[in-house]
This record gives sequence, structure tokens and C-alpha cells, in this order.
Amino acid sequence: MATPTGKSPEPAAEVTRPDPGAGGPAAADDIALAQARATAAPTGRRIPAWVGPAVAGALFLVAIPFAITLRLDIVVTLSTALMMIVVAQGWNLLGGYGGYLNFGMVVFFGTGVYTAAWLNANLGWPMLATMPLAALAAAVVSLPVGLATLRLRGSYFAILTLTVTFLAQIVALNTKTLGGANGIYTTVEASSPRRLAAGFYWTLLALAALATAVAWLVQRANFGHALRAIREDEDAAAVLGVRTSDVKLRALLLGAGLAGLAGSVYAFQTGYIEPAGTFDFSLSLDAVLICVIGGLGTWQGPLIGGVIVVLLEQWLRTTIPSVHPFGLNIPPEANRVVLGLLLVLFALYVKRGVVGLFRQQRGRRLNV
Amino acid sequence: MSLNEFMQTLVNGLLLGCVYAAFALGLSLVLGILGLVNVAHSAILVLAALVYWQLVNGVGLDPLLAIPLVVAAFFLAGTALESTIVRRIEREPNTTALLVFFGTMVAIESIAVLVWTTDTRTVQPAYLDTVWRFGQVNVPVSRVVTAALTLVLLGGLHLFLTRTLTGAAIRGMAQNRDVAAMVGIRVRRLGIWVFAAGTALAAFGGTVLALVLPFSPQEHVRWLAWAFLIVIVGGLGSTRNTLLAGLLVGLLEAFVGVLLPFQYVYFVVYTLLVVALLARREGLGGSQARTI
Repeated sequence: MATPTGKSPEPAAEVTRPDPGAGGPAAADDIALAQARATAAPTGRRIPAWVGPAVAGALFLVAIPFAITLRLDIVVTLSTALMMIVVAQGWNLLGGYGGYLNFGMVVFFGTGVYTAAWLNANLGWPMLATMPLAALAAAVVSLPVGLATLRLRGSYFAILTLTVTFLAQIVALNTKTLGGANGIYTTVEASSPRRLAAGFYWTLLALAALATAVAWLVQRANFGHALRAIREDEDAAAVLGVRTSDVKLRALLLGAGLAGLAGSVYAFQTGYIEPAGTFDFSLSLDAVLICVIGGLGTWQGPLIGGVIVVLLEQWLRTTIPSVHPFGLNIPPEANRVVLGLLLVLFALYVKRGVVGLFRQQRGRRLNV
Repeated sequence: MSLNEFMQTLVNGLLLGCVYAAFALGLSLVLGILGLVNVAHSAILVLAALVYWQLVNGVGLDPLLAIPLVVAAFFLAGTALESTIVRRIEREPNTTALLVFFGTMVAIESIAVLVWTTDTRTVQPAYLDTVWRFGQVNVPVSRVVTAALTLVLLGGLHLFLTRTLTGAAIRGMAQNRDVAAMVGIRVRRLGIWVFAAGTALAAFGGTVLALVLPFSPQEHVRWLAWAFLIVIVGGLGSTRNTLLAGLLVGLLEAFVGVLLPFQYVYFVVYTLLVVALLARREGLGGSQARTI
């Protein structure tokens, strides 16, 4: 499994030059370890810990002017990718680091969408004002789901989250204040389509940077170590003093909050909210797929996976209807067959995702 | 509520309970014996319902004759699924197995939507489409037939698992797969059979679904919720408990449906699910032994 390495600076220099005066078995161990390390990995391969965040930060800065310079449809596609990155970073906290798979991320996302839409339609709140409440509402909705399942082991959480999507649709459909089957309209003011798209793009870019920063901080904090310990061996983690249910619940609430934030922007982006479209199962699938393809339990994974999956979906959606094997017309929905099979293949054969492919050498080094 | 209405609701609930027990059988078997949470269960179920619909409404087969055909076809499909995908995840951590089943579910559901679209369908079961009347109580024949088939299947499965040597081997495999292999049980081959039987039972659940309720491929997750609830309430390792849990949920749904507006049924069912989850804390195995 992926051991958390390479992140924390190791005292390699001290180990490679042991004090010649000190004898005894401890020093011998140090020498043996140093030799093993020296043979296992050629020196100088190691990338310093600050490079990753610096590159990601630079990428986010470089992406700011894209809203003006690129074509409008590309800006919209990039906005979708950024939105999915926010949701996937939220999913990754419990799903990637903690190993508890959430198959109903769209419930928390949809709660954010409906909260923002309701606040806008009834009270006239602008987008930025609805964001905190949307995040809060999503976290509140995730609370009963977590309380019911996270004290248990195994797959209860996965199945409950999968089936709760259906309940969310029923609730939205039968609640009059949420518009029922008629839905709700949101309004947002902008002088031109370009200004509108750029506004959403920048908001989502900021949110994606925020979500990535949260993931990066979690990965380095005790909280992240506790989550990884739960993934590797929950019993051992509990014995060592990790308050497992508490940690899992916090990861769920934080992830749901991020999904709710993304949902509040989506509510204004689409302009029209209705139950089936909002609680669309595809979003849950995408969140899982992005993290699995990018790399579970890494802050870089959702960034890479988000771009890959959204571009792949766009490409499939435009390509599939244009091919006619044996003269058949293939509807664009066929892309989900491809995505499902892709998930199976990655889960079986590329367990550490795209990020893991780059890390292979460094992973071997640690297994000394 | 008058006595007649009460009797009618009681009969409806009991028949619906048998239907729900049929939904949960395959899930319970695969979970109890192989320890795999087959998230794709309901997708298989709805796919079987669609195939059944095609055979009965499209080809015009006899509704009772089509049931064994569908079940046999899905048994074969189950062996194929086991030998391509499931055998690779038996030794993997939980998360990998769940991800693989989730991907399988998405693929099956999408194929079903591609072939049969998202329309809601009902099967016209020819001669089964009549209603018996006992006094004031109406009993649809199709539900009686499916309930009877479910009971026969449950009884047969119970006898097979408790009275035959193969059944004992399967139960041994459920207790400890490694030890079972050591004493000479062919766990590999039995594993294929059990998964295929689970798929076939899911297909049986699908034919039952097609006979008694309208269905559409993209809504299959709700049947997963019901099947999961019955597995949680009833526990594993006992077909009798699966039936009792099914009857409980069926009765509950029937009575809630009469007393409250229909959408409250879902709240009651999900509340029951949460309560059952909170009450049953020892793990999916249904006993302390499996969690070690």
C-alpha cells in the first residue's frame, strides 16, 4: 500500500553519516539502514516537499487569465472540471484517505444547490452570500448519514450513501417550498455571457484552490494520519488511540461542506433547478472516478483526475454519436458504460491512480 | 380502518413481503457466504426484469415458462462474471471490491438504459392477470404465484444449505474459507457456484419485480435499498430470517401506505434502515465471529 512518504523531511543526512565514535547495536542498525537506503534509491531523485504545492499554486495563478483569453466553450468546460475538482477533493477526504467510499456525493452537492437556489429565489441573495449556508446545509444533511453508519465497519456506509440518493430525489420532488417537480429558477446579473462565464470560472477556480489547500493541510495534519491509519487497519488505529468514528465523521462533514460549496455555484450556473437533474447519479460516479483515476488519498489526485475525467466525458459525448459501428446509432449515454468499465479497470489494476504511476520508484525505496 | 380494509392491507403486505424477500435473497447469499457486498445486485435484478419483459411482452412466451429461462441465463452470466471480475477481488481489501462492483453496476445499468431506454414498464402476464376475490378481499393472482414461487425457493435453499453435504461445505466456506480449503472443500469451484446462484436469485427477484410492479432501469437503486434493509434486519445465514424481515417490511409498507400519503413510505423505510443500522452494531456478518 501507499505509505505516507516523501512528504515529511527525513533526517537522511544524519543517518548516512553516523558518529564513528558511537558503538553498540543501535549504531549498527543505523549503518545498516543507511546502507539499505543508499542501495535502494539513487540519491538526488527526491523532490523536495515544497515543489508540489508550489507547482499547483503556480498552475492556479496561470489559470486566472484563461477566463478572458480562451474560447467561451473551453472556459465553460474548464469551469466544470474545476467544480468536479472541488467535489472530488471533498470526496477524497473520507473516501481516499479514510477508505470509506461514498457513492452518493450528489446528495450533499444537491443540498448545496437547493439551499443556494432557495435563498436566491425567495430572499434574493447573491451567489457569494449563499455559499456559507449551502456548505453548512450539506454538512448538516451528511450528519445523520454519518451517525447511522460510521460507527460500523465495512460497507454499510457505501450502501447507505448509494441508496440515499433516491430518498433525496423523493424529498425534493415532494417538498413544495423547493418547487417540487417544477423546480426553482435562480437569477444572476451580468453584463455579457463572457462576464458571466468568467465570474463562475474565477469563483470555481478559487474554490478549487481552497479545496486543494484543505486536502494538502489534511494530508500533513494528524487528522490525515488518523484517516490513513483507519484505511490501513481500523482496529489497530483504534487501539493506538485514534477516535475512529469521530475522525471519520469530521472527514465526512468537511467533504460534504466542500460539495455544498460547489453546489451553490452550480445552482447559479444552470439557472434552473429540478430534482432529477440536480440529484443526478452521474455526479456521484464522477467524484469516485476522478479520485480513483487520479489517485486515492493524495491531494494531487483529484486535480489530475478531474481534468482527465471531464475532458474524457466531453470527448466521449461528442465522439460516440459520430461513430456508427455496423451502421448502428449509438446514443451518447453509452459513455457511462465506458466510465463504469474504466472504474473497474483502475480499481483492479491501477490502484494508486495516475499519481501512483509517477511515484513508483519512490514507493519502492521506502519498502526497505 | 374497517375489518375488510385491514384484511386487504394484511394480505397485500404479506404478498409484498414475499416479493421483497425475493429481492434480498441473492444479496444475502453472496454477502453471507462470500463476504462480498454486491452493490451491482439491483442492477442485475432490473436487467433480468427487462430481459423477462422482452421475453413475455416482446416474444410472447408463457410468463411462467420464461422465469426458468431467465434464471438459467443469469446463472451462466453469473459464472462468467465470477470468473472474469469477482475472482480477482476475493482477496482484495473491501474498498477495491466495492469500487469494482460499483463500476460493474454503472456499466450494467447503462447497458440496460441503452437497450431498453428509461421508460417505465409493466409486464402483461396473460392468464396471471386476474384477481381472486375472497369475500371483500382482492388477491391478484400474479402476486400469489410469485409469493408461492419465492416460498418454494426459500424452502429449497434452506434444505439445500442445511441437509446436503454440499450445503454443509458452503456453510463451512462461509465460516472460514481458508480452513474450508484445508479440509478439502473446493472453495474455488464452490465460490463460482455461489456467486452464480446469487446472480440467478437476483434474476429471479427481477422476474418477480417485473410480474408485480412497474419498473425502470435507472431507478434500480431503490430496490437495492429495500434488499439491503431486509438483509440488515434479518441478518445473514438464515433463509427464515430473510423471509421474516421481508414480511415485516412488506407489512410495514402496506399499512403505512394506507394510513399516510404514499411518499411517507420512503421515510418510514429509511428510518427503519437507520434504526436497524444503529441497533445491529456487530457487523454485516450477523455474528461476532465473522468480524474477527
